[in-house]
Amino acid sequence: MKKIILVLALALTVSVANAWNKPADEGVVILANKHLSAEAKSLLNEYLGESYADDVQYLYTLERKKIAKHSKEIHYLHLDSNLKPTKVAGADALAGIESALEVVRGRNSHSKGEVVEALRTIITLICDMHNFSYVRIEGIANSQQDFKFKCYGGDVGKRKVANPISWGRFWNYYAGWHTGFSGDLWAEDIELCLGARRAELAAGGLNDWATQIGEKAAWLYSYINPEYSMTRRERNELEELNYEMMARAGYRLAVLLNEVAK
Amino acid sequence: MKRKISILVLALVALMGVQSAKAWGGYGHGAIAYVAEQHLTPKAKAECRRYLKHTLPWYASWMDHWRAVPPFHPTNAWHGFSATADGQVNWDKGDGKAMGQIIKIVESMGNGKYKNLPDSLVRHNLLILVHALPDMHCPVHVGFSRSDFPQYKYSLRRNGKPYKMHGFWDGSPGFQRKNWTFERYAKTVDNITPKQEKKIVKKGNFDYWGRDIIKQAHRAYAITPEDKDIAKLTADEKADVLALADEMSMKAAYRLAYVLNTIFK
Repeated sequence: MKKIILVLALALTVSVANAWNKPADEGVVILANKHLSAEAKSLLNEYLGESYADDVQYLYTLERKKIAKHSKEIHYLHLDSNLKPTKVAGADALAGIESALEVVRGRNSHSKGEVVEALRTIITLICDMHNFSYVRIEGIANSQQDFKFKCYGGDVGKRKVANPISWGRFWNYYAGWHTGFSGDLWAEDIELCLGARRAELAAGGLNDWATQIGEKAAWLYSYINPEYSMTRRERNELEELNYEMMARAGYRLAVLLNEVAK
Repeated sequence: MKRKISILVLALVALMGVQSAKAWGGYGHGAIAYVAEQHLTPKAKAECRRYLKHTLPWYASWMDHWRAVPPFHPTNAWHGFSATADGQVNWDKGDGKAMGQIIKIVESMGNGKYKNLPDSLVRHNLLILVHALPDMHCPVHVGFSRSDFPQYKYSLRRNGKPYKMHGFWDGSPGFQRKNWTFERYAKTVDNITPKQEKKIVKKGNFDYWGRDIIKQAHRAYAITPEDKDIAKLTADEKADVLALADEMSMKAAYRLAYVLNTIFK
């Protein structure tokens, strides 16, 4: 019986080992790559090579191999009740990105391995912090741990059945609607849809981005809770917001890498 | 403890169920749309992207996501069509369902008429074409009446347990192709000659398309007869499944590209 529970539990959690899913996360990095300066491209090529498939999962891979030195909280963006980042060292996405940026800036005094690790950390965490399942806000109890709410398969007919889904799983779910998309296709699609808004989506700096993400997350947490039943229409419509967050992650990653490569 | 297990099992089944409740499967639809996009003329591709603001595969399953939302509920019938006993499209059932809608859209948008329609309507029509046209190529989306073909109402098995014939064939383009990208699918499957493509498209002859789809649909029932255990298919049987799935996927892709190229000539 314990074995059955273990298998089921693994099946439910195993896919939550990325921000969205592997190809979608890879798409975010490929999107960023389209907007890198020559210096930034050269920096990435020198340290990471041309494929980002392993880089987008870097911290998760360490965790799976049980060799991670970081706390799992590093994936989460932590905000105070005023939506200002709290940046707990070693246990916060923003703090993780900032310390990794420092390593890349001072790359001449670090080993190649340390710079590679720092770049991979930035890539993983920029994706994570733009996924709403990785946002914790002081004073919002539901943001402190995963919770389940109900989601309708349809608003009419035989699909009008509500099934439980976890908050974490919900924000992975949209990428699963596009199974078969490669990282290249994700990047092409996002660029086609939101490329014209790139400047607006990437405006500001790390702290501004954290607060913006917090504002949207706080709005979502204000009505999605364990008692909530989401209609199919709402679920479909929220995909646009999730997609925009992927675009923001990609365009902002380009800004960070361009700045740090100077 | 038993109650906890039941809840976990229900939750898992529910999650799996939600993901698989798509005709041709999300993967198959995306793959077909991806291949179709590779066969568009530059003008048709640019016009599709101008109206949709996304790639074709992005919207490949749009109709499935919205079919159970009130304003779109009537589109629920546009995912396949009914067949007559003698192998023709049954136009009396739901105005030809998917086939009927596709013809209406082509007639309303062809010969440059799309330029006179509101952008939102052109966009909506494209969303229907990119899904409904491939969907009606899925062998189990041909409606055979119970009175004409009573032998077709059956289930398959998976490791001895009942498994839906419909669900199996819906997912057939992705059968044994875990983690395949659309690019890999296209590279493997999209390899017919221009002459063969012409034969498939037959200058947009919808009656021919209908007869061809119905004929191929019968093959699915021959490949996986009643109680066939899909977990125990032989190598030859697996090859037969993929051959039919790929043939119908490619026919759908080429015909979709033909329709879009014709509209945006």
